[in-house]
Amino acid sequence: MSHPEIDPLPESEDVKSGAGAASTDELGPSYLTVTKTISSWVFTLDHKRIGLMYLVGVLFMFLLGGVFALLVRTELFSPLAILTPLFASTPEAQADLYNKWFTTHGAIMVFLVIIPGVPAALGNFVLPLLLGAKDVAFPRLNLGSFYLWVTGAIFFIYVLFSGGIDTGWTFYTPYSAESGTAVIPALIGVFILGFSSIFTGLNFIVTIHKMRPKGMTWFKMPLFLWATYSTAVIQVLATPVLGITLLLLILERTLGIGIFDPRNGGDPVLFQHFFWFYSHPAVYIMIVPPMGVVSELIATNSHKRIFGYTYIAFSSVAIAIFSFLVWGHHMFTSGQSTTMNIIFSGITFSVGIPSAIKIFNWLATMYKGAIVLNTSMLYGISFIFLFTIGGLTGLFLGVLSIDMHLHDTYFVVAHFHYVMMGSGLVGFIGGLHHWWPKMTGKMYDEFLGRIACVMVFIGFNLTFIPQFVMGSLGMPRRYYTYADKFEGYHQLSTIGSYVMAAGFFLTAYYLIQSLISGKKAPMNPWGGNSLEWHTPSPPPLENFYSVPVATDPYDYVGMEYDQATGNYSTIKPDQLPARREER
Amino acid sequence: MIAIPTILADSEPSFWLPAPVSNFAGPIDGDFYFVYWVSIFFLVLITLLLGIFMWKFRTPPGAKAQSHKDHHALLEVVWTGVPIILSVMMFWYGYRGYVDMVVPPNESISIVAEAQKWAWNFSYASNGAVIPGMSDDFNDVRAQIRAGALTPEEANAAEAKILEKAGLHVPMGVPIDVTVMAADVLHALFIPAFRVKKDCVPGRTGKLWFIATEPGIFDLFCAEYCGQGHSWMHSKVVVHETVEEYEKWLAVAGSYDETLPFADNGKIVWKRRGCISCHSIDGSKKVGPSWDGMFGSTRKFAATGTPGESIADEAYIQESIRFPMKKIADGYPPQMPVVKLTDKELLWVTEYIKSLGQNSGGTVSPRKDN
Amino acid sequence: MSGDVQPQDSNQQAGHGDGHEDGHGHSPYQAHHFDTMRQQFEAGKLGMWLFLATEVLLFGGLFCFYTIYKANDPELFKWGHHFLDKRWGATNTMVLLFSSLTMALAVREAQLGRKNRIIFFLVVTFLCGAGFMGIKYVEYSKKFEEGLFPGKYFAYENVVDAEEARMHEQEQQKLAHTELDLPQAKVVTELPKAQGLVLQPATPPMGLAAPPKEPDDHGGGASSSVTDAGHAPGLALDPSHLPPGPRPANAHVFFSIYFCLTGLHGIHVLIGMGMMVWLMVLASQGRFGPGYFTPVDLGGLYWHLVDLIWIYLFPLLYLVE
Repeated sequence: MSHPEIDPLPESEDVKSGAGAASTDELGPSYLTVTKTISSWVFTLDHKRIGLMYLVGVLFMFLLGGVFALLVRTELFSPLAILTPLFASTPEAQADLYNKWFTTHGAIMVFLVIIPGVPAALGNFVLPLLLGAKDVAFPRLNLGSFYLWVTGAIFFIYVLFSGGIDTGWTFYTPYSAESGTAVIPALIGVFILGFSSIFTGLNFIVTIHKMRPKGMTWFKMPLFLWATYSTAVIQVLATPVLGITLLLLILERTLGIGIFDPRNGGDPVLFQHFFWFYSHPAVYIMIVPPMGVVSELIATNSHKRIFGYTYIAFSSVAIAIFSFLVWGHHMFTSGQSTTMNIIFSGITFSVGIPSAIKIFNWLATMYKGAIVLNTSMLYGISFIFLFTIGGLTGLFLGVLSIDMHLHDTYFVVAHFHYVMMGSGLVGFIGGLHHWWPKMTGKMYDEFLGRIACVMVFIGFNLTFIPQFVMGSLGMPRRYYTYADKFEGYHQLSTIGSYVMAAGFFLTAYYLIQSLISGKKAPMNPWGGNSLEWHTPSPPPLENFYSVPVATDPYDYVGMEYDQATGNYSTIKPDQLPARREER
Repeated sequence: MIAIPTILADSEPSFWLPAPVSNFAGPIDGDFYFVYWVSIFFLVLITLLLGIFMWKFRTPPGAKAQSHKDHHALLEVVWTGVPIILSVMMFWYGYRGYVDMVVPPNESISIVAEAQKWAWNFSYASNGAVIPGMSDDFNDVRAQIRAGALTPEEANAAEAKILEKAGLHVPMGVPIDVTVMAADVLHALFIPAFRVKKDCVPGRTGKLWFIATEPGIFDLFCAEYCGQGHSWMHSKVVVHETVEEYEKWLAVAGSYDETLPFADNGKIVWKRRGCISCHSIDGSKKVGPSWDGMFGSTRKFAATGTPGESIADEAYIQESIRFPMKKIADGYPPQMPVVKLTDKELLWVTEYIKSLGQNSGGTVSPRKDN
Repeated sequence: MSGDVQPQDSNQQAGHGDGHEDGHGHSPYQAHHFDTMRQQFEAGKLGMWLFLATEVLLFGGLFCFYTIYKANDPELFKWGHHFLDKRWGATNTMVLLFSSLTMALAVREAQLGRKNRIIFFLVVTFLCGAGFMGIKYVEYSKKFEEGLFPGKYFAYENVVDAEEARMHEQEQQKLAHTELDLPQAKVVTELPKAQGLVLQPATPPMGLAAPPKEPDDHGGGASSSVTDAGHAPGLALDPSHLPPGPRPANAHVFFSIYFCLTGLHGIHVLIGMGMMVWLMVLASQGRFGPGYFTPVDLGGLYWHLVDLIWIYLFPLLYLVE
């Protein structure tokens, strides 16, 4: 409704062949410049603008959650109180404060950053482009999802200002039923965020089903779409259960309905079942889309057809299906029955297989490729390494006997950080770099990009490898203070987190710098062949000047590189029209 | 302050796992190292391949891939099949190890571990003695070591002194069957050296068992987040060399010295039964009201229990201990668990509160305690 | 043709002018107006089905709780369902079934484009929804009068208990006047409430998670206070509602589940009624016809789901035996 009609341009040969090193502005306004009022952003129905707004919001929340992570890590540098005395006087109040910090860090990172990160922010921008569509199926619902996300974020910020919340992001009863902190606003926030996630998923499923272009059968879709599709199914099917569970927890706190609180006749383990019925699949909401991103990164930057396409595609689907059947492995020590423990342990191993398949196929894709080690590829390679560690350490926790020892220790903390952050967020950042030129029309500084990636990689491993060790030595999680023998590990971990933070700040610096003074991005700077690289950077309002015809997204044979413009196209440089030489 | 070098100089016998001192430690460590070496193998394999491919096939932009082969059925079968086989093996080992941990043998010593915010209590079935975890005393020792007030030897002596009447004591070589319970919220009993852990769920009981295989003193932690004092809620496990030694300890530890004045025994009750974690005796505000100057003051009650007010006399104190949710002191959360004191303990602790000061009139409101 | 929908056009606009401009951006004229509509209709329908799936799962969670608690404590449900009036429940079932019929007719009329009939059937459906909510109101207020609240506000005592409580209260009031000089004098004024809980039968813990034996806890304190304050003197129960046996422990859990299930369902009925009004407005503008009836169709799907959930709720809650 806020879209002014733009005239379709005469189809220039440049655009068709992809030789258009031309930015959109030479051909006509891009989606960024087509309208300039604030309301044209606030009420936009354009998926690209919504994706960009998501991105800004998610990155802001990432900063906020990251600050809390640094607070937590700094506090743990020593078993003595370090930071908390600045804000609270008694030891009790200091411990409470620490508990609020780690809860806030966890809740923000899970619900506001990683879950919406790839699907809502990157997915919104890229998905219709990959499909050659003009928008998602329900643009208004899409905008609605975004504002639901904003509402949820506002609830969380309200929680921060109303004294915080100290239940841990898992909201385990009965502690969450009796904690004196702002639990209800946080629960309402998560409930609303859940619906934001559901509507995004619903939108994507319908879009992928009904809006694929001519010639794009299911098995010609880019793998990112397979990943997004699998994720969307999880979002739609798992999130409502979380919604009703949190609703009942709110009622437990207000009315004491006696479902979860043993003092009212309820069962706390039941809460855990329902919580993890959502939250385990939610782990795959966080990891499967980055896997899709990495499939694109690896194939594009290796300039080689992705290896084992169908295996990767089906492994995404398999992960989505298995994800619903393994929630009980979070509760091996909770007192659920022995039989259930054994069944859940067995099924848990089945999730490992599709993950292994993906890793080996990515490796095979790199074999004999033409690997350009740009920033996004470095993130892709980091992803493979970190996800390998995250996945392998998951095996320890899936083995029933070992989990008796490792459950609720720092080993678990390190494991899920490798999966959720080392893989989920690194995939997200990699995707951000991959599509940054497409989103903004600007190139960032490759040199600083690589440095930052290496810093994040080193910092990350330095933060979390010591946590594996101290976890298996018996350091329980969520501890404000700890036995002296763990001090050295904590110090390494804290130093690592600073290195990582420096890497992220450097990233923020050069990305912002690229907006101000970055080179103009060509149409296809990486040599990708999926449809988003067949439209100018940034794309025009309705994405394509002419109806794109889907070809094989992983066919890089005909791609020629033009040194002068940094662009890939199907035309050899020496045959390019002279007009392009002037830049 | 930098303690990183201690990682290498640490006394732990292995880099990854604490000293194995129970019957489960051997098998679990075996499973651990099986998964560990499988993981190391794959990690090294994948990292090497990544590194080699990165190095060997790196090109400037614009180069062409050397091959476009995009499928290989045999490879797919191999890298699907091998993980499946290894997974089944891991599951099988874990299953075998776990089943052993579920059912305690018949002839075992029964101990009940009850968790509350934020204290442990261990009741021994053989004589009904209730021995506290004394987390606060151990925290004191920790703090003094850090402050440099105690040398390591002195600290060990101090801990040994505390452990005379505290901690989870077990004899070596005998199956110990621990029933875990929780009075308020979730906790978890975790003894790293024994490789055992069980959640304490209010309204349910859980079981774990083990046979300690070496005498010594080992850490015991709360592993499930339970609020403010979660990280302070630790204690020690003492493994006695023989059953006789253990029984001798139990007989002494389980008794109060009834020759002491009531108030002195009351102070022991305050520490032993966990009152200490919520009620201070110096006027500082914890989860519950301080006991300092409480006796004889006028208590205001919040609307969540029975509203109104009353003088804090003996009847009030004893009612508040027996039925903590009945009258909630205004300004404090309704969180006090029911601590089942014996009649004598109740008497002693009442006397102790009395001894902590008595206000002359009914003018002091509980809020001023802070 | 695919990939050529104008999704940013809202449903109701798509049927009109935009169809002509649909051609821009791809080969013109080939995408016939009808083709576009069809694709859009299918997308909308798929979206609605997915949304209904999430609704089913939302209720599914509650049904799970119902199943688990019923499996653990069947007596509780046998006891509790005596308080639910089967006659009202059955009436409501009929009302909703009838409304589903009228909704289906409304969809059919929308496909035929008969404006007045659409509105007529929508109004009937709306009235059925209102009737359903009216009956729910009657049922709820009865529960509230009897003190059958969810959770810790649960305040029901059967007639004998209530009678005893009243006598006890009188006794205590007499005592209060004679014993003013006792140390607990200030508390004595509050004593009747505290005393009420003595009447609670000390039920043994049942089920998987019995509450710790704290006689001072919520159930007791709250129950008698509410009863005493409001309803005890005139407590007159419909004899047909007298439960068959003594009150089980955790009696409040049955009503928690009852109110959660019927409450969530009631909210959905209200949303459905709001939707009817919106559809009436659209219909009165003459928007629906053979080419465009998506909103009515989707609204119908939603209404049928709400109906279907009640069909499950009714036997699960009202017809336990």
